[in-house]
Amino acid sequence: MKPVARTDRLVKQVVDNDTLVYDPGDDTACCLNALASEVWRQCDGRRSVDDIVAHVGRTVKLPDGLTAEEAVWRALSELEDATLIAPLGEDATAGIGSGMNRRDLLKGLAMAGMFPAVQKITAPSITSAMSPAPSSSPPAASASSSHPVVSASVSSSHPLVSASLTPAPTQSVTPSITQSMTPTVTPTMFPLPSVTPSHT
Amino acid sequence: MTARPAPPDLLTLTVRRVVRSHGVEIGVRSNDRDVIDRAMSCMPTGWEESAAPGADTWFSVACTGVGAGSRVSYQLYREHQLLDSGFRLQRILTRLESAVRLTVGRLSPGRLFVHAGAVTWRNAAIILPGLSGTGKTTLVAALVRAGATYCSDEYAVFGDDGLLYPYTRPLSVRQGEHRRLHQNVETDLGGRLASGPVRAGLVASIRYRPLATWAPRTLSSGAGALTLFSSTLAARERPAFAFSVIARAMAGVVSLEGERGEAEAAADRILEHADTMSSFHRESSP
Repeated sequence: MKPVARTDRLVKQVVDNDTLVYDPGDDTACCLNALASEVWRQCDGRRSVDDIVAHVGRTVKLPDGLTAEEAVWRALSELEDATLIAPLGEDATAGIGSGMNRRDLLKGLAMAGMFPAVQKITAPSITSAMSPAPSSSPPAASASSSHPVVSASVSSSHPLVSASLTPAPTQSVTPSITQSMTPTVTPTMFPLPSVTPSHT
Repeated sequence: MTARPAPPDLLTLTVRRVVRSHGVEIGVRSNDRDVIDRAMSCMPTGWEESAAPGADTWFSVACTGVGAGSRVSYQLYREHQLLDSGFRLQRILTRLESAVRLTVGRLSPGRLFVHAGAVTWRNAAIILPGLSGTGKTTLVAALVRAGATYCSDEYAVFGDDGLLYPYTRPLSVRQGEHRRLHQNVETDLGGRLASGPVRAGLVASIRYRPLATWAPRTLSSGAGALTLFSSTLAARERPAFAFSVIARAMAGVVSLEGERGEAEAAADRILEHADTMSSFHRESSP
């Protein structure tokens, strides 16, 4: 098996030993820790899982009790769940030789502070990122949840990541108007129309 | 069912001003000069009059129903979109203020707006990302009372240099479901306002939970960066810019996440934690 990383349209950024990845296709963002970053970089379609295991064994400091093979499979599974690599397939664990299926393997792994190796969030939309206005029943732009980060995460314990919230539906209050709102010329001060409203 | 009033012809709103805030031209127009004057109090901190020929975004406050015995109603638009309407001008202006801040945060060139409170302590910033309702304003106020310098209670504003810039509007403390109490940091809290850019020293994603025990866990730089990204206004519109700014800001910065109980105790713990970190004891910033 030779895992293949997705590279299409992804926005990537290295932060110290971690990697941030943004997918504009579904507006999700991931943080790959040092292990997942290293595994993902090796998924070039030419290296086998064994090659990656050997590489990780040489380059990544793993917690006691966690083998490079276990760590790589766990990272690959999380990368697959985050759709950052092509699907591994059901026979993906055939090469580990233990007779366990992948789920058993992952279930049995010690967390050891290294997992989840991939955290995934949904990027906030503009409407959800603003504080709600007080004392109003906000229409349109602000009628939304105040917590936009709602995506199912990849085994994340991050409170901003793992919350399961559903944005409120926006209200449709957009009447049509007759003319463009954006004039090309901005007059400074025009004569005041004969309006004397009382401000309450 | 009540019939909705016909939308006004917005181009007849001939009293206009354009202001510049964080590099964004904001136009405001109305058919009432007094409304425009009051709308200026809704502009973000540090705005200045603009001589630009147009605006990046126009906001309109239309006053309708004017006449003998008529009650005046107000309609607030952003470009073509009706944002709010009603008889209470103060409510309309509050909505305007919020919408303008959001627009500036989205469009500001070279600035990244992250929904977060922020203070400075010694020579670095403590950033408290979190959306509404997580208690960040209360925690910011407690940090200021404990001696930190106020930067912002709503947006942490980062430059493309990765530094944090002050956004010192008055503290807006939630009072129940629908009310906010505005507090002047200097006169009400006895605090100080940040005056210049500062580098980040600590990112603390701390949520309020009654009786919570203070036991935050440390995040990696990347996880902390993801926390900031999850509160970034332009995350979807400018992800590459957001990533690059956050990466600069987060280089070597420690991040915490967890829960807190009362704000005063949490503020003390956060400042104690900062005191143990070398980034808060460098000579100067930046």
